[in-house]
Amino acid sequence: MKIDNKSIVPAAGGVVGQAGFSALIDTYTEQLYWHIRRMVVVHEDAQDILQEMWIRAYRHIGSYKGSRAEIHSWLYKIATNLCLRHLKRKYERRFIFFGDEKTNILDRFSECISEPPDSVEARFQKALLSLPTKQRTVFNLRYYDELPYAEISRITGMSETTLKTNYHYAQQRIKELMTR
Amino acid sequence: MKEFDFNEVGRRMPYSVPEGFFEKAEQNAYAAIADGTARHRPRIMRSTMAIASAATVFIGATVLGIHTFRDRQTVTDPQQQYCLLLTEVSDNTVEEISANYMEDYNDL
Repeated sequence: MKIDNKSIVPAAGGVVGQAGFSALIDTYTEQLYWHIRRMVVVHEDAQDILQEMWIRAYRHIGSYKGSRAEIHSWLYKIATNLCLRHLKRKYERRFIFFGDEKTNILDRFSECISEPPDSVEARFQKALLSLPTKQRTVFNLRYYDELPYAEISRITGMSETTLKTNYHYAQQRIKELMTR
Repeated sequence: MKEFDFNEVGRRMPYSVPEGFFEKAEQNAYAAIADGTARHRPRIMRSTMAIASAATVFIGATVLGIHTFRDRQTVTDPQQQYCLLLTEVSDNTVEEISANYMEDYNDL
């Protein structure tokens, strides 16, 4: 079914305004997809999370109390939380059922890349994936999305000092792994 | 050994997406919203259903608990014990229990 953008707009009021929600989708879909993809690696998972993110954003946009400028952080926050929940459910399961192999995100990585595994891009991403999830989230938001610490703080709920420490450790660890 | 320079990789990534994916993704987002909104129940309705489910489980557990407690109450009378045993064991062991019971009962 082809959905007319205008058909969903009237229900999305509040800070975003009448024509705003369609503009949000048009503006942020690509950038949010890449943020999600870097977090969850698998394209299909990223696609599902992106859709879920827009559904949630649409449901709650009416009660959104922040400023127009902060809506970017709000969307990133929804996306990041969904990614963290997904990673926890998919890779940190306590019980392994019959025929259900234990996997980790690095096992999936080699199936999901379009560059040779020994390319600098692939090695860099692999090094990044070996970091603890918190460090990796901070690194992605700072390095790839170039967000200021104040905004990352709004997204992750961590203090700016903690973020700076996490980013520093992430950089050091990546340097070590890439120098080997 | 030469230290790794982040500029060597920049923001390049080893991932790719199918051609035309982002145009399709926007359309999918609108479709997902339409579908998700249709499936979405109001919060109050979800809360009522959650409370009703919890109440059903609680009542069920209470009834089952009382029933089990009553069954497990100590029976001191040998005849009652015998009757309870007969309801709990298979036919093969009934004769054996009967024999033991008769011995015990004769001692009384």
